[in-house]
Amino acid sequence: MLLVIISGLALGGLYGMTALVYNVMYSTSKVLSFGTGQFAMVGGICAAWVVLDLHWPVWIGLIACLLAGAVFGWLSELIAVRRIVAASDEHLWVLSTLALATMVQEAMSLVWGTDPTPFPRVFPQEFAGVLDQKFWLPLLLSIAMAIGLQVFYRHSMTGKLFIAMSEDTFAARARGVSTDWMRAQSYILAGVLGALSGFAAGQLTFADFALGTALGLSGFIALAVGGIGSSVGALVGGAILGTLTALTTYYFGAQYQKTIAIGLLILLLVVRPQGLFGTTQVRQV
Amino acid sequence: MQKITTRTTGIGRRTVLSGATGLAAGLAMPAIAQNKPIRMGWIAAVTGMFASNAQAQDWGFRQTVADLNENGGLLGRQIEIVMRDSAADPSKAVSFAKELVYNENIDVLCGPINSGEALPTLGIVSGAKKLHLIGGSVEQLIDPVKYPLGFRNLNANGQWIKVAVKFMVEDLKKTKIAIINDNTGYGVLSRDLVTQFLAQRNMKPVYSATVDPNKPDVTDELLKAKDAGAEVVTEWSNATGFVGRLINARGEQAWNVPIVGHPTILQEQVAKLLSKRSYWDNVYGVGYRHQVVDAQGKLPANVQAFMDKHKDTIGPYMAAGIPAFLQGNAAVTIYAEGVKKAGDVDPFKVKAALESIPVINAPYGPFIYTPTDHNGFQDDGIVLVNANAQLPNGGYPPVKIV
Repeated sequence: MLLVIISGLALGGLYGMTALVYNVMYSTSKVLSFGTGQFAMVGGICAAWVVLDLHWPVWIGLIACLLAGAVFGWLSELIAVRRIVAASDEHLWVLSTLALATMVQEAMSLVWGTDPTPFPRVFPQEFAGVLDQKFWLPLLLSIAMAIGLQVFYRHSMTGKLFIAMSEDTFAARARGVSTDWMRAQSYILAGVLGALSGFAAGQLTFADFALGTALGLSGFIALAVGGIGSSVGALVGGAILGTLTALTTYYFGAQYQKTIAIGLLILLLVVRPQGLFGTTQVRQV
Repeated sequence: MQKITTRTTGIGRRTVLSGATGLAAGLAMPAIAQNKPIRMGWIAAVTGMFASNAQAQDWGFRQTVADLNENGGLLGRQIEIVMRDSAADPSKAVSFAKELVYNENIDVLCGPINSGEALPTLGIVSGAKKLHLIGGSVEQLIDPVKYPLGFRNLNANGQWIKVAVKFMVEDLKKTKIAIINDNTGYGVLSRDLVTQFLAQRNMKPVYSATVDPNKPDVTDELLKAKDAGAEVVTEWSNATGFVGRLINARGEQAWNVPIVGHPTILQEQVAKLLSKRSYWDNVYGVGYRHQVVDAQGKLPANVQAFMDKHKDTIGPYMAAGIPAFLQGNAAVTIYAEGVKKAGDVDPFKVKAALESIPVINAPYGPFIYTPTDHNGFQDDGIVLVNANAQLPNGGYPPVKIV
């Protein structure tokens, strides 16, 4: 039973990290990018390729993975968000981010193939049950990521500007903030964090071109459960979703997993639309 | 008043001329038909999701046609391949099937070579009254009443499962069986067949799970099967990642029950995903008699002969496994046997010939077609093999219970 819970928490960590990545992009652009899950996919495949195919050390694989994430994040903002957000108040970013995500996924499958490939062990360790790195790496990194983001938002100028933009982009621009550049930075950061999540969970997921779509959905559910904009909420939402799906499988059977996950989302949206840690937006009329 | 004359009887000059032209053309037709090549339509997804397997099938198909042409072709006519790449897209498969049967004037259509693409082409090929060699394993592809010109050139999925269930119960002597399948249509269909074959033996699975093949960890499913008292796990999925995770989860829990399953479990691609190669021990996959070597380590003579003849080009296709290129060979071999027996390429004559040949011994295995059964492949052509026992020549030794 302990292994089931740990496995669920590890998955929850991965979902939580994906939810945090959603938050970073949302803070500056109010866009919930459909390409969020693909950052992890690109990062995971890139690291596996560098380490296992090019035979370079794991740390170089990590750097390559983060660089790939940064470039993908920046291109996402440039291609799928900047002009769309500037030109229209409608939610056309749904289409543009979905299109870019699909193109990236297909390109990765054409170059690296459709079969999953193995992911290297990050630390030399025999399988150690509940203490195995494939479980605690995503779990610990998700916590570190949430803490790091909180520190970043509260203690760095860039983080404070992200917060300012999340509250009122027009006011931030009126005070001389280069909102386009800040948005681009937030997407670069999101790409790096997304790729890092793919690296952390690579031993669970393998390097697989199909990872992004499923991860994007699970991450979004974690985000909605925890509350959009809240780092703690993202972590808690991920942990709830991960353990709930694992326990559902254990007690009721794997065929109920998705029903339970989606059911949880609907239930929460009905009872507490702002999520567990989200805040209600008051609109002046 | 103008007089209008209408000819109602008699033979005019134009009629005589056109009749003479028609007669001349008719007399010339057999000679032209005897010389023109036999056109074999061939749809295979050599790009896309199933590319590596399809490329090997395509290679086997082309080598077999080349061998026939080298020996004078069929009925003295050369064979021409009209190939289309469906890229694993059913809509492309449908449009290519229409193009081949209606515009390209083919004599036979082989493929598409996976069930999802083949299903929507059945009505098209049948409607065009073309002979159809079908390369998918799903049961619904074959129906001699609805599609009288359709013949399967590999085993049916139910045959794999029937043999796997027999192996678990009679050879491994296990009665507590857990089924784990993916949530694709194929996975669910396979689960139902396992349950059905167990019911025929008055048995029920102790655990059954249908799982998303992209789920990153399957420890929970394995633990549930373990707690249900399973003595053997049977998996039905062709997703290498899913199968790899399943074997890893069993190995990591040091729960050494056998895993028996779909041929995917034998792929080297699965072995690469395993944390330890030893996790592949005590894993059995559905294979074919044509892969099993004799005491001297030799493959069946007709398989070895085909591989030896094409040893210069076979290299890149060995990774997909012997069954892949032999399946391509089987489509051509079966059609050639039918045409030879019929002495004609007329689809209905070839159909009658295929139904009357006692046995077609293709390197892939023996095929026997009857007017009421167009499946052909015989159960005894399927055997279980040890996953971690593949030999350098691509074969497997006879199965050994671990």
